[in-house]
Amino acid sequence: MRAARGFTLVEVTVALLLLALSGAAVIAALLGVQGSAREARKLGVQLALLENAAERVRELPGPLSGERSCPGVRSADYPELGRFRCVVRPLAGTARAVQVLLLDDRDRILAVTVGVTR
Amino acid sequence: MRARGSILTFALLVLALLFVAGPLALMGRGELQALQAALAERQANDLVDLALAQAGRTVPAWTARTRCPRPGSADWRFREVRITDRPLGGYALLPLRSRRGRGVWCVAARTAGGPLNEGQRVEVYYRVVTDARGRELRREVLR
Repeated sequence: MRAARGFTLVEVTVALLLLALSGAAVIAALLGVQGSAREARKLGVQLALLENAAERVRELPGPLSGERSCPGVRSADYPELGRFRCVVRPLAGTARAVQVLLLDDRDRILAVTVGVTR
Repeated sequence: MRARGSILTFALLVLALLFVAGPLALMGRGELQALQAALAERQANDLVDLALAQAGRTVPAWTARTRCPRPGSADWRFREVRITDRPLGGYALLPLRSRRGRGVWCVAARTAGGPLNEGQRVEVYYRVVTDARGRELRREVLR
């Protein structure tokens, strides 16, 4: 007769697998939270930057003749965004309208809004 | 009997871990979505400013319209705004009949809900009163 105490190898293996899986689920969730927190922080900074830039564009004498950098935006003030450029371009169609673009170092759009010159 | 008791503890442990993982995964997402909506709202309000700039420093010509259309109605004629060939959103501007020297406008703006808006659709509707030189005097939210 076999002893009734302890667990069989199969039971222990199943238990370890279940523990590993649920542990992995918790870790994946934590990583997801971290990722979205980083994303949210970046988005918050971008939003603040766009608001700032659109506000400053109002003081620019319009209409704009070509692309120029955003007035009053220094990239040193936004270290969270890494390397980026903020530019103002005329918007087709209307005279005082401009586009305010936040571009990364490969000229891809990070965030964008529209503004109006004086 | 002792073995069965241990399995119960173990099962509870696994369940607890899974119950922690679920809310954790949802936690950060709410804040991110709120910020995405805030960005789209900012864009919509900037589009409203664009529409009002379009109105210019003028008082609207005479019109029969005395009330703004309902938000979402087909009477708003949206003009699309595209940035580097991608849709940002649109704005609509309707003049209202007003007393002399004042301009009254119905202004609406909406975001396209594309990648430029972080996938968020936001619509804003305002009734704006301007003076003879186009300066904004009052802004009411239409519902």
